[in-house]
Amino acid sequence: MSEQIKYDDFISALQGQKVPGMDPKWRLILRMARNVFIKQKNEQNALIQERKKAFKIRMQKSLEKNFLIPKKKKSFDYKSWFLILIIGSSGAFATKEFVHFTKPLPLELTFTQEELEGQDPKLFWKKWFNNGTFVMFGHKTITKPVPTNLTECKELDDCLVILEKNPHNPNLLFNIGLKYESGENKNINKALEFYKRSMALGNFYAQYNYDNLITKKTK
Amino acid sequence: MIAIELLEQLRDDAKREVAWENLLDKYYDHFFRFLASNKISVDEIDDIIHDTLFSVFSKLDTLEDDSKFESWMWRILRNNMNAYFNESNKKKDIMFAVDSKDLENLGDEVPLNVKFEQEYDDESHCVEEKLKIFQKDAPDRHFVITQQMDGVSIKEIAVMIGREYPATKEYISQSKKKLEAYLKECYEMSES
Repeated sequence: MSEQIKYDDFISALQGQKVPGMDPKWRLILRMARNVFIKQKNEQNALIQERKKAFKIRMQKSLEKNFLIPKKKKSFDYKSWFLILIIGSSGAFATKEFVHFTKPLPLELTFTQEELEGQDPKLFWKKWFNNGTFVMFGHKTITKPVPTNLTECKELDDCLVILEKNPHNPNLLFNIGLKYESGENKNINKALEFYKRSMALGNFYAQYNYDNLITKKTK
Repeated sequence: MIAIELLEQLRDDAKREVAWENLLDKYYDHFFRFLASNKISVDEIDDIIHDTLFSVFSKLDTLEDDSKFESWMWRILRNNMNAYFNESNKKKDIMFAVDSKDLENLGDEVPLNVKFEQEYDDESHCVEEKLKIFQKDAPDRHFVITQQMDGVSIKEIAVMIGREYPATKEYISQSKKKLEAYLKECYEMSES
């Protein structure tokens, strides 16, 4: 057997191939050697993979300075917005600041058709019936808001006078609640009562202020 | 990905970001093993690979023949390694760090039988211990045999170690003889 063939056999046996005609004892030794080589390689591989990660970061920095276009930072990407939202909401939660409205609302109301119908039952008949005859699709003109011609009130007494004639105006009730909440005529219980009445008529501003007052009261 | 595709990516500004990662994925392991087989510590290995890849980027324009990109890169690595040996005054006792002319003049220094008068439990234990010693004594030869085991051709190994094909073939043959000498004791052990 020439040296070259023996050499080829040697490598083939190390590669795990079958080598016909090879000395069985050498074959056994080389199989064992192959296992050790693989074990050594795996150990080195583990080290390489560990080093490679850190090296990649180092190389990236080094190349960015000289050869690569640095990655642009997106200032307002969705992640930033999400972060702002989280911080904002957690801040609001931490301080427990309830929404509180302090400005009076205009007394001249504008209603949608459904709201008008809900407040004044006569409007229902006016819409669907014409002199006692049913109208299939209803009168369209009813959708226009009905002006109430209310004058604004600055003082509590003026508001209470207007309230006698307009007991179902939610904005007026809210404004009175607002005047009871702070100022010369401060009366929290009265304020709560008026907010509650305003809430019952669908005023969501009153609902926020009512919640705010209740929270303050329980603290 | 073959070397020529990598080279095209490296030359394209838009693809350079991807190119260097591909370059690292393809060659880092080989570079690491090669440098480790020259008894260089892991921290210094990273420095040498870093300098090599940096040089690949900065000197890409000087590459004359695209087909020799891979051998050009390996040459940069070996030059950086030699520069490291010179700067650190470390002994060049590794074959890959020896100049080409000196390599041609090297005689057959293969020991006939490597015995350390050590007792082994069985053949398996003997083989394991002998290979540990072999890796420690001749990491460069251990490297080429491992490469051959992985199916790397002699031509590719020649590119890595920077030798001509016949010289590489002879070198691998000698490495095999040396390994055989290390394993001889285990072989004799199984005979008895």
